Amino acid sequence: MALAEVVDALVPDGSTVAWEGVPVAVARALLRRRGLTLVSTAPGVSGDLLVGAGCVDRLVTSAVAGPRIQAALRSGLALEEHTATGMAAAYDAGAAGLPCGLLRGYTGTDLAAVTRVATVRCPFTGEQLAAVPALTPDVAIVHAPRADRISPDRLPPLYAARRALVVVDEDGGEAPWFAEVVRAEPDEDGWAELLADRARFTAWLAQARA
Amino acid sequence: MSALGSAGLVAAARLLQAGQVCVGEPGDPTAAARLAAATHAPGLIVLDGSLPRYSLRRAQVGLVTAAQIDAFGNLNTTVLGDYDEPTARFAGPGLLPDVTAALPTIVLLPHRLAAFVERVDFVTAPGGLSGPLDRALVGLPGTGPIAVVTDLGVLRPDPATAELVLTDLHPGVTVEQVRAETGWPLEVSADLVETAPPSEAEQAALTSSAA
Repeated sequence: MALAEVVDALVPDGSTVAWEGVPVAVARALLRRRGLTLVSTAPGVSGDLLVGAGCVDRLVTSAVAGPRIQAALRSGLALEEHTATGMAAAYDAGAAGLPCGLLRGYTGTDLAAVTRVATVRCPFTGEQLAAVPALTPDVAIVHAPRADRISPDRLPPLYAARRALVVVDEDGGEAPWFAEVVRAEPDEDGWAELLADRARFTAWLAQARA
Repeated sequence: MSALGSAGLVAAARLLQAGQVCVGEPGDPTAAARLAAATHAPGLIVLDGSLPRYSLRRAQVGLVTAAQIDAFGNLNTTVLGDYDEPTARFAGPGLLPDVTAALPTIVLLPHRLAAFVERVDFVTAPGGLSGPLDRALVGLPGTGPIAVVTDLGVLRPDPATAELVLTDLHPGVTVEQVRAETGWPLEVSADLVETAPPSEAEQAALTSSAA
């Protein structure tokens, strides 16, 4: 099945979607979605686009980068900010079926006061640790060069989610048994170029949504 | 060319040692680490931030940048103004808080009054917090930033006060110039030195990386 059809079937309105290294073609297939929660260590151009298209109500991330994300924050996009290690601990916990992930982190920062993090005491050593709630997305979409070359960072999101999709550059190899695999399609109609031109892109987006 | 200039890049690179394992943010921090690896610090390893929880434990030094830094070396990459109604929004935490919490950290930042403030608007990553005992009190090791390298010179924390003081001036820069770009009454170290100009090997490495 083609990428657009797979993605379209996998992500209904209102889903919580883990989004790690995802190519823009996936965002393109989701432009009509509404009410998504986007969970992403680094949303990248594709995540920025999804937010810019108005598909996302809530963003859970460690990198608040991208012009469309910054603009959306000024007009009410909900944000839950974590450190990169906080995101990793929360994905790990979700993957292992635990309610929270533990880490040394957030100590001495102002982040602790504005995000979902708590302090717990280790029952063995007495050390104070940070706890973050597990991430259990409805869907995880991650990128890999090939199905058998998924970066170790991207395995926990796949295992944590109810449904998992690996977008690959080339065929071959096997992904974890529960994950779907689909090949990214080449950008034949110059969409990436369109993205760079804000005025042209806004016009294109209006047409795509019509 | 880097916003730090060649004097800033070489001053940062000279703080690194052969065989060290570094966590480096993209841009000037990574450029400084590469410069060190190409000159006096062969075998230096620059991690790319993947598997952050595991790789940080194996790193020895952090190289970072920020939008704002204060007199105690606390760093802000979150907001200017109030968190919920900011006047400016930056890229957020990423790995920065973990790096300054766990590792001796070198901060690379162009020296501008807007960025060198008495107190950061938001502590994204802890430096010395508010004084010399603060890190130990909350259970953080070390001093956080060991050096702040700018395009004008180098600041280091005074062990007695945890406040950043001027320890190095780049060639042609005056103390008055640095003070004019610093938002707190900057003390000058009694042992103030001038940054040595790039060596031939450093100049060659800078030229080849710019090409």
